[in-house]
Amino acid sequence: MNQLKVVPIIKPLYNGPMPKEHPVKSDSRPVNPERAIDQKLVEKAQQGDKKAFGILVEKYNKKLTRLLSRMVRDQSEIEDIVQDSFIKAYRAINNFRGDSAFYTWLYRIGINTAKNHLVSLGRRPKAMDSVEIEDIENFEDGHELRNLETPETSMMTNEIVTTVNETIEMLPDDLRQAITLREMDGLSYDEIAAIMECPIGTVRSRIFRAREAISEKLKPLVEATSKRW
Amino acid sequence: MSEKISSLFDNEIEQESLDKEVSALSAKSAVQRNWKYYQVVRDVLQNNYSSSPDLSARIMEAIDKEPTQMGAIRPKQNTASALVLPVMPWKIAAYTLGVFAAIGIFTMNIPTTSNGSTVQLVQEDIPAEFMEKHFATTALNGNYFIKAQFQVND
Repeated sequence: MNQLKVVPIIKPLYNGPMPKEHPVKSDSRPVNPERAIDQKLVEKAQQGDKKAFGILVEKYNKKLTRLLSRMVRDQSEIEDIVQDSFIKAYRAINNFRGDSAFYTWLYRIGINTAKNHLVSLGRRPKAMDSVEIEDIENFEDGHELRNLETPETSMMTNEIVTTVNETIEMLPDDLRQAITLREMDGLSYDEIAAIMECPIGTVRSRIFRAREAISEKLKPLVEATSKRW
Repeated sequence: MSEKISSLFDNEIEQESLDKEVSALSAKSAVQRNWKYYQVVRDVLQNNYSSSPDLSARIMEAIDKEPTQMGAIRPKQNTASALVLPVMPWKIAAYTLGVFAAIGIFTMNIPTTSNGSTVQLVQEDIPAEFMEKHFATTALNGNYFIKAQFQVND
């Protein structure tokens, strides 16, 4: 089956070298913020807050699905393995001490669950040479996930991608530039502030306003997608 | 939805706001919905978006049926009141009787496995704080369970 290749219309805005000096220093931020946030959510889950664990599920379920689709091809099997992995992670959450990042720990559980699943079916697990644990943190492969799409979901994907791109095109220049520098170029707020020559608070506000504008347009589409699942 | 949640999404939150914003994220459904939209925007712009499969609802339904994990909570010790209040003789007598009664009931009801080995209930009393937390945080109002840990003495 031919798969539609979805490519964002918006191109990265900044290809030059990173600025060496930032207008505002933000020393009060955690050294590894993502890990610090995940750790907080884990601690809440350890104290009985299931919704905190839900945030981690929301955050990592697609990424785990993409990773495991390299080992298992059948979609329903992948879904079962992903679900089992999260349940195992939840059951063992009190043993998580934060020695590694939460997602590294979760992905190890996922890979072991997939291997055990394949072995139980008498199948040999596919080699995961291309996805070593140290690569997992940066693992992103949307194409793997799109291979799992049906024609219906593929149409919905295109609709959502088009909506996001069109909304970004209609944003005021400063908002568009801020959100693209952040999401496509992956720049920090400090770096964006240096490029846009504005205070970091302004960057924060512009990115927030851009997201709110896009979210408003996305709401009905994403809700419709969720109901189908 | 505040700017701070957007900053949290970008891992650009200040250390002092971290607790507050993470708490807001786990407590408010509206914040969680917007977080989801933010994730969609990111996935689209990084060419990682796909409408399928979003398993989070299905996974959380399964998680809701799991016993709530509460390993990090320690029961509060009210040591101050224990030190200040005088211990009356009748209280000592009532306490001693209560202990003997509890031991009697407990020893008559020690569960055993099929091979005759003893099963010991490690955590036998559940503090009210655990229960409150459990009922307050169950995501989908599903069945409520408290995890009981069993240790088999062979």
